[in-house]
Order: sequence, then C-alpha cells, then structure tokens
Amino acid sequence: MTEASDRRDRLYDQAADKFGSAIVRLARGYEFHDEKRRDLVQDMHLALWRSFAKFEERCALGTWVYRVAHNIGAGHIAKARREGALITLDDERLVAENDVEETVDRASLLARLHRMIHRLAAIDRQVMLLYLEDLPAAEIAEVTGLSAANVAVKIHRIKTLLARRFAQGDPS
Amino acid sequence: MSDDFISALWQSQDGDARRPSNEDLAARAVALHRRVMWRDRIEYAAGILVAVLFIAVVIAVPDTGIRIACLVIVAGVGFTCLNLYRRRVPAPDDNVGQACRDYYRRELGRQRDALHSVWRWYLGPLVPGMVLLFVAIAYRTIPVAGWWATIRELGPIALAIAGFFFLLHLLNRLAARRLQSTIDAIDGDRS
Repeated sequence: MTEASDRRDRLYDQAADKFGSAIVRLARGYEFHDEKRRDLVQDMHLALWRSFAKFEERCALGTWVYRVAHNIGAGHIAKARREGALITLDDERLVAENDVEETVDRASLLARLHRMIHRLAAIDRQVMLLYLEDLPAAEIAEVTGLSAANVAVKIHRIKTLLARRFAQGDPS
Repeated sequence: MSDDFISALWQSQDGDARRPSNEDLAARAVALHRRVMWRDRIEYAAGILVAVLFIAVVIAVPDTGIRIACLVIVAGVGFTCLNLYRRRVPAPDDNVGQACRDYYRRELGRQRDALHSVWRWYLGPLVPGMVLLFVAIAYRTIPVAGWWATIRELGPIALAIAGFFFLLHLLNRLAARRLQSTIDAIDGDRS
C-alpha cells in the first residue's frame, strides 16, 4: 500500500466513524425508499473514500464530508429528474399542505418532516439538512458555497417554516 | 415546538448506523462500474447493430449510390458512438468535494449542454447518410416510376424519419430549457 492510499484510508476511517450516522440521515433527506436509500448511502461512502485522494485539507474534515455526501445526494435527485417539481423554502405550499395525521407522536412528526424535506429543491434541501444537523451558519455557508447573507436568510425561512408546520406542540 | 426539538428529533435517527466495510465499498465500486459499463455497452451494441444492418445492405444491393449512402450512415453511427464515449462522465468525479452550489450548478450545466447540442453530436452525424440514401433510391426509381410515384412512395417515409429526428431534438431542447430554468433559479438566488 502506498503512503497516499494509507492517508486516504485513514481519513476515510475518521470520517466514517465520526459522520456515519449523519451520512445515513442525509441519505434519508434524498431518498424515501429503503432499498434505494441503502444504495445511496453506499454511493456516498464510496464517493467519500475515493474523494480523500484529492482532499488537500483546505477545509475541515466535516465540511468535506458534508460536501461530498450532499453532492452525491443532489446528483441522485437530479437523476430522478424531479427538479421541476421541487420547490424553494419561501414557497407557501410548504406551509399550506394539509397533513392528514393529527397525532404528534415521534414517528408521524418525522414522517411529516421527511415529506416537507422531499419537496425542497436541491440547494434549499441541503441548507435544511445541514441546519437540522446543528451546523452553524458559517459552516453551512462553507459546505454549500452560499454567501453568509444568503444562508442567514434561508435559516430564517427554515425557522419560520418549522414553526408554522410543526406548531402542534411537543409530543413528550 | 422549538427548532431545537425538531433538530434533536432529526438527529435521533440512525444513531446505530454501521459504516460499510472495505469489502462493501469494493463491491459497490464494482457494481457501479458494471452498471455504467452495461449502459454504455447497450448504446454501443445498438450502434453496432445499425452498422451491421447497413453493411448488409452494402453487400446485398448492387447500386453504387445506395452503397455509398449506407457507408456514410455507418460512418455517422461510428461518429455518434465516439461522441457518446467522449461525453461519458468519468468516474470517480474529481470535483465531488466542491462546494455544493458550484458542484450542482456545474452538473446541471453539463447536462444542459449535452441535451442542447444533441442535434450536433447524436442526431446530426446520421443525417448526411440518410439524405444520400433517399437521393440514391430516388435516382433509381424516378426513371422507372416517375417523379410523382417516387415522391408518393418515399415522401411519407422521409417525412416520418425527419419528424422523428425533429421530435427527439425538440424533447431534448425542452429538457435543456427546464435545466436552464433550474440554473437560472440557482444563479438568481442571492437573497
């Protein structure tokens, strides 16, 4: 094994151990169906492992991991050719939708959250998913390449959207 | 319900996610490579089939004009397959670590350009040979059957083929336009 491949494997091991759960959650944000999602997670891990050959440590490890995972996810929804049907964070249809379920148990809340996320266009979806992972705005900007001001506006829209869509109260 | 609660709810998922083993990754790499190779082979196989059919016509039909037209079609098919090969996305993608907005925009642009120019690199190479073929057939039949009968027989077929090519071109242009709308939305999203 060469030094380069050792370095790649070492970086991948660190990334997979630290961000493995986050990668699976990101994949949930891009694919509903269990089997396709498992394939997508594998694709994300494979792309990540390969990408470390080009990682020059100009950004944090987490930034790199999120970039690769989201880029693979965005490619996945682009292949499904549904971009035209997806909407942005400021679209009133995200709030106006009448969710059939009245219950507020954990599973139904997560299902509603997933349905909302799956309606979002790629860039807004990335910001939403990174926000839900508690990434600070500056890191969201670095991962997505959006300006700090743009990220701030999107986060404001996310907070408003979540407040309006999930105003029923804490199920616990 | 607070944002913190929603974030905590989101992050409570998949806490026991297992990372793929090195064997899983290697198997996935092979599976992906095979899928891409299979898709490429289907396209090249279709091209070879068309080429073989027209070479069979070259052998069977003792008319110089028709033979030349068929050979030009075969060359056109070869050129189209070469363009398909050149346009395949190399794996692995060296840019996958790029900031998401830039990566996504670049991918959409690449797809848009390929769709927008499908006339030039996919359909166009087939046109000269098809035109020559119709001219060669007409050149043989007009002295025998006359202009009107030749037009009546060949016209609908030529129009159907031209219409099919035009429809493919139109569908690809519409798809390119949809991608451009998405690109415009990304470029315009500077709120």
